[in-house]
Amino acid sequence: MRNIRKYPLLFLLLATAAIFTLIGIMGGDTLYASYSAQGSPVPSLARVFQGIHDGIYPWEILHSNITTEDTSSDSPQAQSSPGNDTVPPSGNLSSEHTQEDLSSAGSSTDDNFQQEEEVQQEVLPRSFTQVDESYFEDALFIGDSRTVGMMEYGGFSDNTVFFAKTSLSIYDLFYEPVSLTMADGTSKTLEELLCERSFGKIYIMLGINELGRGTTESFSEEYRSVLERIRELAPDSVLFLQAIMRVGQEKDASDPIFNNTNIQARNEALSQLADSHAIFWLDPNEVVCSPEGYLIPDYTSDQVHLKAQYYQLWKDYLMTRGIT
Amino acid sequence: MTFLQNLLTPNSLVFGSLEFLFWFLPAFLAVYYIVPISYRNGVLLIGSLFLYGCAQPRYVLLLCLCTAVNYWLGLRLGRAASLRRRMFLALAAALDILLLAVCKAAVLAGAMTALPVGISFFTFKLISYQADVFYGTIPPENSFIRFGAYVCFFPQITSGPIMRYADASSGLGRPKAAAASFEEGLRLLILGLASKVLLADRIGLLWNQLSVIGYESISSPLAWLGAFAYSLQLYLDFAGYSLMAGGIGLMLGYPYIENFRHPYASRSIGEFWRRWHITLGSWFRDYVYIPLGGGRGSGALTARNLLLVWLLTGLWHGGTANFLLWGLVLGVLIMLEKFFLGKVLRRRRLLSHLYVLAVVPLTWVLFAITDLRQLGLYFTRLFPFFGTGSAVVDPGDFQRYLSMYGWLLLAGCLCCLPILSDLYRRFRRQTWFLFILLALFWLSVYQISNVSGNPFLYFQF
Repeated sequence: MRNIRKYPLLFLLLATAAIFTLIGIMGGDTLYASYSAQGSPVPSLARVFQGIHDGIYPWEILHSNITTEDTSSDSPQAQSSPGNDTVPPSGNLSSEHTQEDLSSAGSSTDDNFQQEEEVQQEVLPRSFTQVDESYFEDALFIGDSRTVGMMEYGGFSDNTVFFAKTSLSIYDLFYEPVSLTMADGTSKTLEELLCERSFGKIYIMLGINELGRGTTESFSEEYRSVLERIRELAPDSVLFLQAIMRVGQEKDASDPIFNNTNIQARNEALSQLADSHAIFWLDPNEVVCSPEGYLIPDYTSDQVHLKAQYYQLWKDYLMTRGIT
Repeated sequence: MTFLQNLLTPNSLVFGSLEFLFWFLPAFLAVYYIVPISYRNGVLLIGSLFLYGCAQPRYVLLLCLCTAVNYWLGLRLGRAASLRRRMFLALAAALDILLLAVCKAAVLAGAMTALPVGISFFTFKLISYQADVFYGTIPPENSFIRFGAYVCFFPQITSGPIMRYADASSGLGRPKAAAASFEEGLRLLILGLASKVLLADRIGLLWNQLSVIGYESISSPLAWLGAFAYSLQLYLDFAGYSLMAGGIGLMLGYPYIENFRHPYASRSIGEFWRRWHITLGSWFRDYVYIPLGGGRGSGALTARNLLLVWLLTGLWHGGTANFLLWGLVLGVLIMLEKFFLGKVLRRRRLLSHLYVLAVVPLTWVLFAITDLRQLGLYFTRLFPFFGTGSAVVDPGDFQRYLSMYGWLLLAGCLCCLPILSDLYRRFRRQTWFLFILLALFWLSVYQISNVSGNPFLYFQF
């Protein structure tokens, strides 16, 4: 006891560390099941702090022993975003959109054939035309930090709306409020935004942050349901699905996750989601990558983002691919 | 066995890593204080080599060999007759400098991906030891264990401070910390950790962001904000590291080695460098500048010595041309101050502070950007005399980054004020301060857990 008075800070640290470690160990199979030793080995108390970051607080350990059903999910985000399952599986939804949706890979070839015939009669696939800057006046851009760069340096008018945020992913697209660059400047969720305003066209580029998560299949399934949801909320908008921008050669060679092989696999899967009628596939990589498929060295300094002055290339590319 | 696996990462030598804070340090301290006093230096040597080996398995033998050769040379130097002493000193210094130079050249030539961790620091420690033995300020160390514990001392192996042997010997003699200094060490460890993790690393994102944008596209106000932010980051990072190193040293029973004394409150560049990385500046003063004659000769001789010292300082920090330029600029500035600018600065208080706060960030820009073309580009943004060029520039970028980083930068600026030390000394034993420290520690752990614990969270685009 005399020592506690001599070493107050040491004892406080040891006591709190013991408490956090205990919580981390106790919740190892329940509260923190999804944080188990993935990647670098971390002490069990680190899970407690990773949990706090994702909205799982240590005191929940008191309840978690009773309710264990929510531990089966495969990711921290899935736990922290309640209502993840409110997005219906794509199979159900596509039936509502049989008329428009040509991409539903789930349906049989016979169905596809029938659908195609129906569509052929009603609407022909639309083709791209050259448009000018005014085309973006009623456009919405959805994306991660790359789209943030487009917002800052693309030279768009104030009427163009950007729903873009660093680290935004398809998994949190409908749960993450984003501060918008509109006159009122408030934060809104995508659903709120799409409900209160309509857009002539919606551009979306997401997918680099998701590379470390799930498989190409699970990713494109999730992307499909996100697109369905957007179509539901904005049925009259032209939807431009953009390929994930590739990375530079150094990054490609050194990164086991964020490399062009993985990006290419996912882009191929994504391109299947477009139908050239309601959802259009765009690949800006055509104008920012070398023939070998790397982001051109002069265009980037961190191998992932375009330098400010090269966003214009991307924008110019979009202007060659207007749908009117 | 899992304990070992947890430590076998390059990260474990980093004080701000979970591996170090929660595996190595507690385990090491426990062993260090459980074994009898006479074994503690041995524990320190083995623990230091073990940690270095975990992080740098390829170079731990190099460290051992270098230590052993210098131990032997030191002993020979101490016992040699006066004529041969000079020869042994030259041999030892040449070997250490050669090792450092070869490694640096190999990295520059691309033959090695990175320098062996800490080589710039332990070679300088060894040279200071040999020189001190040569001048007779210290006797040569007879015990290999004590000598090894001094050289491989894990709190200082990665980035200093460059502790002199005379300062270490009190720790090596009685390796036990009094309760008061153990607690003080913990306090400094936490403050240093918070400085690095909560401020430096986060402010550092601003500087990174500028290169992502491309220097040609940043507005001039943002270029200046970037230079100030980088200056703060560098200070909070290195001074934070040094506080941690000093704190761990105190916890092991070693004296506190001061490496930073509120440098940004200086009134000249010369003073700045007597208060920034103090152990490096004093190393160059004692082992290069003074042996060359220092400032005692003619004006031309002093100028030559100053320029030489500062070119070497530049080379020590890095081999690319920008570091030479950086050293040269500092040398010229300090020379000007010595000959006439200093008189002006001493008389004008406000002017001298403004001078330091404007010039030092510019020198840090020279230090930070290794590509000369990019460096030139950055300076045209700092001083846009020739217009903005043709590149895309967002005129609102300064406002945006200020709103994003304003609070962090303000907190960083407050940490540069000398009054902070006085407040610290006054309140450090208060109970409420204890809880502030506790909160800072766990906030830092929160930050580290979420940045390094989750490999994907770190890579967010």
